[in-house]
Amino acid sequence: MSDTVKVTINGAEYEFPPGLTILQAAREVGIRIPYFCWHKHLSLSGNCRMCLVEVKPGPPKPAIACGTVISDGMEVVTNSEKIVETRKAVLQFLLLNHPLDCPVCDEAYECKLQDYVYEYGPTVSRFVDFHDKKRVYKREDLGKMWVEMNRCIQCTRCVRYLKEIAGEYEMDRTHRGHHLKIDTYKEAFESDFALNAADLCPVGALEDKKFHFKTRTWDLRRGPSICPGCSIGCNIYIDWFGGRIERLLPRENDAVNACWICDHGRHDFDCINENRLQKPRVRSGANLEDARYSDALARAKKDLDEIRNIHGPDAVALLLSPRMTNEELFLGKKLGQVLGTERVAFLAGYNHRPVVPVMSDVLPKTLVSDDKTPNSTGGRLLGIHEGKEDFTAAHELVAAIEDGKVKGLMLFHEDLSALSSIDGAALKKALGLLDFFMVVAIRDLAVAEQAHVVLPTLSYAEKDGSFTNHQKRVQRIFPVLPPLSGVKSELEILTELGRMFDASFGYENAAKAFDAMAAEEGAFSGLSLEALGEDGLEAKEG
Amino acid sequence: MSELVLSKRFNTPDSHLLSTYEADGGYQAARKALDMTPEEVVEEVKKANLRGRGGAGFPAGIKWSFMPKDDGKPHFLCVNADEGEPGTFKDRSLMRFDPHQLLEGIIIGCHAIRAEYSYIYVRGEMWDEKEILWNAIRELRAKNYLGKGIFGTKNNLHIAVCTGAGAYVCGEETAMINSIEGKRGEPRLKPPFPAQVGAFGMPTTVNNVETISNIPHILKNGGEWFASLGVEKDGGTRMYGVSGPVKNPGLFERPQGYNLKKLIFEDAGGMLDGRELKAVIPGGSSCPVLKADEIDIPHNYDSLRDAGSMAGSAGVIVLPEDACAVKAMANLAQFYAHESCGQCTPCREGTHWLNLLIQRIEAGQGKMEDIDQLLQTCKNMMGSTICPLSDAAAMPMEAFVRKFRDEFEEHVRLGRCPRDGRL
Repeated sequence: MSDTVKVTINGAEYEFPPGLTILQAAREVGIRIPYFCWHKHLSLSGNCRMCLVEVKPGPPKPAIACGTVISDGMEVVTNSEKIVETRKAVLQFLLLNHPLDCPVCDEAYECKLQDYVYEYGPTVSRFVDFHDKKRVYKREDLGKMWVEMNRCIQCTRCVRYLKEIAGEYEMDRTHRGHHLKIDTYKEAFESDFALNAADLCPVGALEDKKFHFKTRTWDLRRGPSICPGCSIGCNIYIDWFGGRIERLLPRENDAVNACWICDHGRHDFDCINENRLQKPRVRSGANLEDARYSDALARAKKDLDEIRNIHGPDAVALLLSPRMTNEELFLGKKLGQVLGTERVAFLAGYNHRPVVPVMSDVLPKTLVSDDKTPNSTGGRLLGIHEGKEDFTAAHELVAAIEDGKVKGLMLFHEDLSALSSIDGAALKKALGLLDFFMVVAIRDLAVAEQAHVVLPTLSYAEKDGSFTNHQKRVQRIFPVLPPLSGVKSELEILTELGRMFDASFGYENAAKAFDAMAAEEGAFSGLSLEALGEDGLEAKEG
Repeated sequence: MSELVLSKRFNTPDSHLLSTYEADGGYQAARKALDMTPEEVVEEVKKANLRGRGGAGFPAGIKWSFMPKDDGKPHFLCVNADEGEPGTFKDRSLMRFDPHQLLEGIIIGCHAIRAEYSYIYVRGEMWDEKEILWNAIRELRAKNYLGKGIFGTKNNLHIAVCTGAGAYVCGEETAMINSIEGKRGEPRLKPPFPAQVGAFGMPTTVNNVETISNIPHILKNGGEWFASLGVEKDGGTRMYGVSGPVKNPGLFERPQGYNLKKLIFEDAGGMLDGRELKAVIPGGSSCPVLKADEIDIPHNYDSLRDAGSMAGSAGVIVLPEDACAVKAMANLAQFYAHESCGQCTPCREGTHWLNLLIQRIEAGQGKMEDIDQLLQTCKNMMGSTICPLSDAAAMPMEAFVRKFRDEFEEHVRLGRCPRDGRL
């Protein structure tokens, strides 16, 4: 058997590797065949009958392109009069019971049915004088989702997804004939991956409650990013409008998350939209007062110099966070070298939620890791953390402060008081012993009450850089949202601070910082931020 | 009266008992078949020109020869007794009056396709028939005609009776397999065909009750004898069920290719109360209707196909002149709308739409455009779904509208049913 198959599509001859379906083959050569129920990660259903094409040799009736495998000498016609007529008919059948409530449907503009009706559909309804005979269901509340059965086209993508990928038998078809309904056995969804079904829904029948009636989808702007919710590093799209994130959607990357994300990650963006720190603050007596970055950093320089003169360079400590990008961690490490301190600690891996396994064999076994931070691996590869996922670093640091060995602390993002293994009162007392305490964070932390300097910074959605996921895959984040007005990234803060001690310190952007990191750190050698692209590349073992 | 094959013992007292059946030479054919190789049995059935009696008319021997050999997997024989086609009532009598004929056929069939397990999928409403089958199977087990090492050979065979839950679509072979597996009774995509991937993922053959009931006779008397009973390419006899206002409705066993007009006017005694014949549905409700002047033809697969209809399951439905054609079709449209499984778009929505339109016409509220819309919708439904249920709903509708268009138009014009909805 030869390793290519000759197939004629619409009169032109093409060669394909064997084993493709007509739909896949046609997509490869840019011929669009409309479909609803087919999805490359789901089992074949073939029930929407939208992708019918004429196939020779074969039976006289049209065949489904999604389920027919190409063979040598096959002739496929996707645009004959008969096929166009069949498509029109299928769309008309689907619209028969569709409420046509596009003006109030969240899916409008992303709706396959809407697109296809514009492209192929009939312009006149034949369903005359039956307005009272449409099938009507009430909207159902399923916890995370609304189910609008009126809009459903019964393609069963959601059913197959929940069974085959999420491994949860939470949905199925009930009733038959034109009463066929997608229904659940439960009051509300328990699956942690249920909302991917809402993405799969080609119409607006399943709706994410969090996005419900928030914006019209055509107003949204989109950018690629990485979910910072755990160390899996699922690829996502950030959809935003008016400076606010409106929703997060999975972005396809077969090496990481295929095209799924967990519901926690999907809904975890309120902290970017709300309660952000806007202005640097500097302690003046008992109060923290708004200041400019330059004043705050000057204060830091003055206090740090004093501590270094009196107690020696090792009395200054940095506590870096796995929420920082590779470049920022690298600069943090460099700042430690400039300051001459050995105390560059790293707080790895928060542990709140258990791992939830995913059923599928073809996809990553897990979409959720118990390490709830995006860049622990980056810290390990940079050598500032030994790979243990515990809080030893934090405990040692607090002990050193209590012993008076550390007098100045620069803390990034991590709210030490949220760690259950540290006693709150003892921590408060220890932090009170510090001569200088700087907090860099995107929102107000409880420990910031005792800080001398609080610096706001940018979130992952607003800055450039890269995270390293648990597989050592270095993946890029992009400045998708416009940065919060007047707020600087950690990269800028670290650079400015470093320059105060060493004029040659620092790199003007993330790409330069990455290049320097690639030159110095073996794990990242040969990589550059540009080369990572949207899909990421694997790092070497450090 | 021609020779009776299948219904020979229908009038014998206690015909459902093993003793009666064995006294009449029962299970000799099974013994003979078990001494033959499976290939020889398949050859014999091929010679008999036995075509599937469920409706599609696929040659049974060829179907059996599709089963893989020596693949090491368990094979299944599923017997389709989900007789749901309106107008058809042959399998029910075959199970009720001669269950052992069916079971002997299963024993031979399982040997031919190397199956050790067989399911008889009986329609949910047929309680008595299930009881009879269960009793018959018990009798066979007691004599070790079923179980391990049947008839002293190395063959094993277990037969289970499955019960449907009232879905017409489960008469489609893959939907039936799904139902046997405990899933929703929805037809599967083909390919793969059941002979490759069938019940529980294993090679499976699905045959109708009447097809299997013919098997013992073929083995006993030889394929040539069986072929000689019928016409060319259609061997054997057929159980014709005649229903409607005829003097003597019922089940008639006649040779394949029996004249349809003769069947109605001689065997079934002609029309009741001097009514005139209007139309005949020749093979169960899914077949396009034939007008009174079109029925002087032999009733077999090929001749009816040439006449624009189908032999189907040989359930002949007779419509009298004073019956309303629209009402008759509206009845069927309602049936198909109710029975669509809802999987494919054209069938799920189309059967419902046809029903809405024709009910509106029958109620006198239709428009002239509705009639063309019926035809258009039928055209859109045909040939575009996974299973033939959509065609089964569209084909009779199309034929009714084409052949009785004047009646449809009369309904619209008068704004009521001119025959007051009589059937």
